[in-house]
Amino acid sequence: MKAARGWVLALALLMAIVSVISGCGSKASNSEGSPSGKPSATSAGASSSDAGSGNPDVSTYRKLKVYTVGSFPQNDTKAVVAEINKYLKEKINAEIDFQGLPWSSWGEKMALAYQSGEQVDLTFAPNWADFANNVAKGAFLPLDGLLAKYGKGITDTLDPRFLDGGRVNGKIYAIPTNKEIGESHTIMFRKDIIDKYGFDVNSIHTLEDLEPWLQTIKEKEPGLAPIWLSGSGADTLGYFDKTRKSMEENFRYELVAGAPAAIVLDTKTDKMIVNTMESDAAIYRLKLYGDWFKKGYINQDAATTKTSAEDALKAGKTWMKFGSDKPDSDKEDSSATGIELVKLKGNDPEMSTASISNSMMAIGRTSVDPERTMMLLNLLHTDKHLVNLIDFGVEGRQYVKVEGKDNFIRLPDGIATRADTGWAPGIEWMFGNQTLTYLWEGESPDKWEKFKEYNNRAHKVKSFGFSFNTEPVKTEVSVISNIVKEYRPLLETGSLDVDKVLAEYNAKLKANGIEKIRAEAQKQYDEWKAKKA
Amino acid sequence: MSKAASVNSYQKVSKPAEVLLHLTFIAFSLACILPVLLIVAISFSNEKMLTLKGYKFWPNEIDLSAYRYLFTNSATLVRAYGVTLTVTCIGTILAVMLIALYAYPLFRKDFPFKKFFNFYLLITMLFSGGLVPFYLLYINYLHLRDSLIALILPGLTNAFFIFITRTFFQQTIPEEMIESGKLDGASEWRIFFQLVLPISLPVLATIGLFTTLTYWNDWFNSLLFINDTDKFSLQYVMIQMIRQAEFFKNQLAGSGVALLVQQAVPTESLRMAMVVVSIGPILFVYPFFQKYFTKGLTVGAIKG
Amino acid sequence: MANPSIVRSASKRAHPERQSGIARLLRDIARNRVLLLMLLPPTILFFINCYIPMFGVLIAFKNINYVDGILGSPWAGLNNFRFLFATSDAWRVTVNTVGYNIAFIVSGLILSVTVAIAVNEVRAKLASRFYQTVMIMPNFLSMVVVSYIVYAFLHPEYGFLVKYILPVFGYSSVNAYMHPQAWPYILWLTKMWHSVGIGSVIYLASITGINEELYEAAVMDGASKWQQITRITLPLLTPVMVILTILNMGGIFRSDFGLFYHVTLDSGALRSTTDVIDTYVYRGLIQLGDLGMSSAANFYQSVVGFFLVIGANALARRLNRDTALF
Repeated sequence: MKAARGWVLALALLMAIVSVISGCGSKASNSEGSPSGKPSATSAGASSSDAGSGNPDVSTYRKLKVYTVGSFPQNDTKAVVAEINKYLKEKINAEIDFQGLPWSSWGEKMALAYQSGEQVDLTFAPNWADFANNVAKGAFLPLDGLLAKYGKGITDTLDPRFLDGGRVNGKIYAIPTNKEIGESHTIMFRKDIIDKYGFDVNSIHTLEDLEPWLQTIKEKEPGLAPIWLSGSGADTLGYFDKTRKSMEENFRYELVAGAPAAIVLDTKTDKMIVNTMESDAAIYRLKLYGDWFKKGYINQDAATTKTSAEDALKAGKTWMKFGSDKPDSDKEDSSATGIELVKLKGNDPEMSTASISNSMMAIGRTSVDPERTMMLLNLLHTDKHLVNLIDFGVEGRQYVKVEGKDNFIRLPDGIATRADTGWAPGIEWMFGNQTLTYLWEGESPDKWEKFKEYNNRAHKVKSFGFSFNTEPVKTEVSVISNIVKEYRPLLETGSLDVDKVLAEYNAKLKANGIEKIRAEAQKQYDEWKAKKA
Repeated sequence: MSKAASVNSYQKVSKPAEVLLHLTFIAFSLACILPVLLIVAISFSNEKMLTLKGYKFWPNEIDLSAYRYLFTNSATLVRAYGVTLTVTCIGTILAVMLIALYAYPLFRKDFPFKKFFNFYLLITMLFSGGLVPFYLLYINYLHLRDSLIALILPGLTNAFFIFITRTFFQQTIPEEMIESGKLDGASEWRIFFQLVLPISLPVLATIGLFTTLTYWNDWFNSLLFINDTDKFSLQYVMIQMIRQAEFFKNQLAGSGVALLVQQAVPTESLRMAMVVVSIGPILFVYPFFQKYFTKGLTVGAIKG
Repeated sequence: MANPSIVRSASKRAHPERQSGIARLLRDIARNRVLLLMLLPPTILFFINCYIPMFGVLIAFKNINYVDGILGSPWAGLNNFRFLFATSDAWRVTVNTVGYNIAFIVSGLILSVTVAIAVNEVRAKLASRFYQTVMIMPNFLSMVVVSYIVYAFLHPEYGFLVKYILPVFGYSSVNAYMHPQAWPYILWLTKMWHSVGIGSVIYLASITGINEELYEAAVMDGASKWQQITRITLPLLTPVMVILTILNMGGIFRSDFGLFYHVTLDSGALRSTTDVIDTYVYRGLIQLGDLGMSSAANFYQSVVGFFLVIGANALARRLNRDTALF
């Protein structure tokens, strides 16, 4: 009894507090973004009302807050940022407050920054980090007007197909980085082993073609896993899906941007389907993995190992790994692993909603000066000096030019790796125009021409531009995500009896509302198609 | 009055029991210490051998590259040590003081508002508004971005420790002592500082130990409130390295960018070396506080 | 708000004087001004750190967007709570969470108290100090680091257990991360290893607070060691034990995320015995990043904890008025 009375008292107090806070809370939302002077509402308004007034006005000095993610902190950040600022001050009378966040805390920090209304001018906003959600919640400014006015350099240099990546409901909310436009996957092998057994990489056209190789390795190289997979990592077989079956069907099924991995689009019928129930190609592939696992071609702890394929390769536990089939990717990976690798010829790159939006920059709704931020973004797409400064650091400090070779750079004498230079955040693929970056000694001189050619070859997937909005079925999506995470590593490594696990998985998906998600995806897709036509 | 002698005379366990006791504790100690040694061993291991041969208590070959890396980048580490030490010292002293100040009135049987303040505490243990409002308050209203105060303040309010301290007071402080203090005309402050606190040293030391550990191990407040790399705490620097590897494995998997960034993961031996460096000093904290776990300070009548 | 006087009158019902509530309140305040002054600084801090942010519980009932903020966003009713119950695994997850917590609370209590009493009987000062210092070492390792240690034991190829111990019993290569039935034991062992040492510190300090004269008197009366422990030490430790247990009840729907996520290597095959509410929520929301839903989960855990604490406290009061929390 007494306890209850004390509780009532405390509750009353709590209510009183809530009402007090409500007061100051609503005040807060009015003054958001004000710490640096100009309230956001006016600055956002200014961007549209100013449109057409001609010359960019840079008379007021601005400090722009730029958020990005990478291997941070870097030791030499201060010097590099000082150099960037010196340059920007001259160019657009602005400096940046560079917020390089480490991967492990970036997601949390950005969510809090958007939520709290802190100043966010330029921010890295790829599709795989809640982009659609953040747009829906109003974290970013629409950029069409700003782009037209201050982003001429961007529209001039960027393949126009890219711009769809940041488009939501007809408006552009983010500008993709100028880099490879599509994705294609491949498998890389240790060259010494390939040579030893006289394998010919050009003879492999499908996953099944690998089988004799795997058998040879299994028999003659007992220390090597013919295939190394690590369950929950990126190294799953699903990454390279050229099976005979899918070739026959001409890659009929497509991943759907934004949807749980269980849902794919059947391009022949334009129907959304559940791949492990209805896609014969997917089921065939899983069975193939199961078969290979039983035959011992796959490392036995594939579903649970902590060792990634790359580490296994470096340590000499396997001879192959999956990788991206960008131009020169075999060279990049060879130098990264220190092992000479050769790669299979991949498919032509596929351009999907995901591939054009996996690296984008957006302007926050709390930006102190969206115009100036767009100017900065424009510079990042056109100014070679600035791009290289951000990506590689200060000349003479982090790198030196290779004499006699114009576009080439190397590490300063006495420094062994880029990590030792004090600036190697690994952000080349995030900032502006990657094709403006210098080449490291040893790279192909025509690397960026090859990129251009690669991008031209890229063909659009059928659902290009479509992105699934999870909001109407978010309860089901969260439930299904749990189930997918439980079963996928098991299925995609073939670790357990495939028939049994598959049946269990499908039953569970069914019982937890996969139908509802599928129906919603179908609805959204049909609407999207109707609008497009 | 020789305390040690008197203790021995009447509280000794039998010889076989004592041997058994020691054997059990030696086993237990090994179980606690060996895994920590394993971490040390990994930090001295060669990355390639780790993948190839698994973890070993004695590395096949000693590889110092992880520590070499840490020492060449020692500026960050030294600063992080400074931050953590400052925050831990100030935080622990303040926290212990505040905890004692709150626990004492709750212990007093004659304090009429006891119930209210009990509930006031309890509610805070059970309901939290979550991260976002807390963050809004600290950043937008208290303006604590990049301030060490933001690392100290959250640790000052721990209802759990207050309840424990209050219970300790009830156990060890005889009410008659307060009464007689009052009769002698001592003020409340005097009673608190000169009578209560001295005999509560074991409690205060325990609480001090726990708050020290809390402050030392805290990284989350750094994640939330600190952007300036010069003000990162030691644990935050460490946890970032550790979590980075897990992050790639769990979150970026299959997103297409995973392959772009994989090489940024610090090696396993480096991560473990960082663990070693960050827990090293705290190992000496326990003996420091343990000094105060002494018996026989209580005088007068006993409760129970 | 005259409520404090209700509380006061509840605790001091027998007071002879009859005065109006407010007058009594004022008099109590005046009489206890020093004690109230002591309470003031921590009370203010609790208000800042805990009470002001509490309006965030609203998030659980809102469809949050950044432009309108927490208060301006539209209401979502109980929609954010649906995902906690809409899964066919809801039962499994709940049973696991509660089951592990009960096991941890009960065995943690027994083991910590035992260790504290035992280490207190070690007479050699140096040895005692050494044991105590070493015992709390596991607690310095975060669960991510612990996951490496467990992996070192269970690695299907090189694990110490797999390589040296299991063969003795006739098992060859076993991948423990694929065998859910082993995990209740592994997790229990890991948790106890991690927490018993530090847990015993509180009891150890508590034992040091017990007056020596009690034992002296007991020895005079011819009490054995065992009788001293059961008749003196344990009864005097009971209040601390009760308080800690009541407080732990508040977290019965929460779990040590690292233990259940990192130590199990997030292995899909182990879900049946290792999936708890926190891991379920994490896996379900990591892609959605929905603030409302995560707040809803937090609120749900709090409410259950609140009622359990109230219940446990009521029980403790019935058994012994003095040992209850409030």
